[in-house]
Amino acid sequence: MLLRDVLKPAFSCTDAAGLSVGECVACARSTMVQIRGGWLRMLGAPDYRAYLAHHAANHSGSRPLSEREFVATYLERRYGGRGAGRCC
Amino acid sequence: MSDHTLSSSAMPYRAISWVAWLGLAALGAFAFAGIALNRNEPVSAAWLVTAAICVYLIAYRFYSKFIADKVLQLDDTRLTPAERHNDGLDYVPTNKYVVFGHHFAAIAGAGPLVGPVLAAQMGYLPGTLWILIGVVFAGAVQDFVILFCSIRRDGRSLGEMVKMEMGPIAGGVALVGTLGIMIIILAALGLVVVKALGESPWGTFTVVVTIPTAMLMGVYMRSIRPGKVGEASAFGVVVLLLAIWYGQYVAKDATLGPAFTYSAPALAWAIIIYGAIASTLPVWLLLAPRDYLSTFLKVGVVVALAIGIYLVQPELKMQAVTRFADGSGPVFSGPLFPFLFITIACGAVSGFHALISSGTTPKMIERESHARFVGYGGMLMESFVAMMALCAACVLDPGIYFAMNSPAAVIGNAPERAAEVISSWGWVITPDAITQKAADVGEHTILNRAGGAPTLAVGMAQIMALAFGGKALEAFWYHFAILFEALFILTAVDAGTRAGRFMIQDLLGHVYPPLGRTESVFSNIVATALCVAGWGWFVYQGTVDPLGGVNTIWPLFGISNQMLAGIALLLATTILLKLKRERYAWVTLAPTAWLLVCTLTAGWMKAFSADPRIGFFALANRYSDAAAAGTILAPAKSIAEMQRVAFNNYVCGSLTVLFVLLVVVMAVFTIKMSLQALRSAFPTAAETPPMVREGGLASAAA
Repeated sequence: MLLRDVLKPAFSCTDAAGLSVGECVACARSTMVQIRGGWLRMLGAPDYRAYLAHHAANHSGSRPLSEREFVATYLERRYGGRGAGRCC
Repeated sequence: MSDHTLSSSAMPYRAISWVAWLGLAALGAFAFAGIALNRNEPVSAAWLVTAAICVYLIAYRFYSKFIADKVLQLDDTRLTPAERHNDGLDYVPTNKYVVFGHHFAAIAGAGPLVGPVLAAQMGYLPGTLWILIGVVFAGAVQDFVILFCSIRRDGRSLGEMVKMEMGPIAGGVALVGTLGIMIIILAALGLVVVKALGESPWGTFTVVVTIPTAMLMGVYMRSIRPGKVGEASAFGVVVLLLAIWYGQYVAKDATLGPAFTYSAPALAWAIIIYGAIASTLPVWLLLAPRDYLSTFLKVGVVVALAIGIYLVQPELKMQAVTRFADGSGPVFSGPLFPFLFITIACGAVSGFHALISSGTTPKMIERESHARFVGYGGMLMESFVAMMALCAACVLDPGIYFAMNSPAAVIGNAPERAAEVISSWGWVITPDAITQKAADVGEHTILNRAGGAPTLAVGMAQIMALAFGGKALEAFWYHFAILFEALFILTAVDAGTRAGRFMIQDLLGHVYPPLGRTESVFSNIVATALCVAGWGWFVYQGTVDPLGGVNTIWPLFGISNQMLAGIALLLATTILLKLKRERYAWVTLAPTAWLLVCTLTAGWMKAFSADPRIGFFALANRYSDAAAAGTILAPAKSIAEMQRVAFNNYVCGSLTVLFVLLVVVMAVFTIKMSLQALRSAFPTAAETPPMVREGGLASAAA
């Protein structure tokens, strides 16, 4: 059950049969991006690509933050002391 | 996996599942029997770990499911804050395994490693039972319920929730309590590092190296290769491993060795200055990169230790219950009840987690049902870390354990005297064995290194050296373990000082508004100075007070941490009653009652016990009376030291009384709110009005 849950996003593209080689590569790529994003979030590190994707999907009218602005805002929010920070 | 997908084809699966759970229960029972029946024979630590894993799995499968389905009634059709406020920044719906990892990294620090090591003086059995029972019925419940409450309130913090549900006065009380805990936690953790690094050039060198390493990583991730966290972290880990290796040559070097050798008071000053500077640097430079490093090491060490315990199957050398269960132990004084239950806080139940469960985690949860895995499961994982720390302390020769953890006032500073005293307690050890152990781990001395970190490091080094690398690597593993703890303690000091600064500004803003402005440089300097002075004072006194140290500050930490857990569980109970779920209120009420009984008893005894070994005021009076009469009591050497002991104990005693009062006030508020809630005919909890996901359950289950 656990394994299935973990691999679900990774194998989501196998649902569509008859993919071309190019589509397969694109699919593997997007899986890698997802794994990378998960990895970054687990560490608590900023993930600029995910932010860009989110921005494009939801606020496509406005200008997204630059990478440096995004990272600075993200780190300040996470570590600036507003949250509880780390535990003992 | 969920009821609505259950069909006839699922029946065989169900049967297999029941057989598997029965098998697991049998394995757990077998492991406990192995521990219980071999009372006079050596027991392998692997049994303890096995028993613990079985308890965790069964508790997770059954008890947390009961809480999720019946008590909290998690509802996947409701949108979570992450979905409602998705901004790609703070609020991001995240895969539940990722949130689990994130949450675990945020809750597990040095706490679960220190408490169980100190509690090992009473034997491995009391600690094991409290860690397992405590986590299943109190700790994991608290984390889970608070996480749920925060999810239902747009990811609000514990303080804000207390304010919403129990009124502004209760909110203010909770804020003062949280600040007090923050200060005490930072002091206790700071003291652990100072005690571990005192007179240890190898350890000091490696810890000092982490600072420029983290800064280089910070610069790399910001300017050279933006966003390349993996590359920077790999660089950091390699440099740290090299630093640990090179440290042994630094320690032996004629000029470098003395340059990195510091006394404990000097290190106390160093960490105070470090805390003041580090908490004002930009976060990308030092705090964030070191946090990544410590997360890597944390996960690596936990996994390696678990594998090590199974590979080596070390025997537990400590008895199941030692004679010190009566309260006469040297590591911390006071009887099993209530002091065991405040000494082991993190790993069984930790109030601080309520701050994390109402911090970043609820803003990442994708579905309400994930709160069970993240909240309850995350705490079980931390408990597992505590179990391994307990194992590492109990596989040591008890003679070595007591040599490391007893204060100088009891066993002196020389191996001969220490061996004599410890042997008289019934754990025969020779001075040579103590000196040899110090040499094995590459230190001048291992005496009086209370605080858990070094003991854990020696135990870990012993296990790891047997599993990987042999005797030759024991000193390396020892310093690896010290570095690993120092790394996240320094991170906690840095992050905690920032958080404390905001709390102080928040409080001061009520008194004098300009001091509450977080963008004002003046206000920042004042608040940072107050925060650092608060914890720094305790750290410094812990190194110069002849009777002070970890044995004084740790009970205070335990009381304050369990007090916060009490406050969080009181809030949880109030919320359950306000939801009109009084049938299930026992789920939070029972652990609340137990915690309040332990905390209040311990607080009362620490403050007012007539026994100067336990009561702060009794000890303070004894020393101030003697000082007034002009006599000097050992181990103090002058009237000034006598007065210092007296003053410090008056401060600790007053703080204990303050904590006790805070709990009592919160309990009164809870009773008032609970009665109101019980009288009300309909739910009165202030949850954010639900927004239902389009497509309802169908899309939720997908």
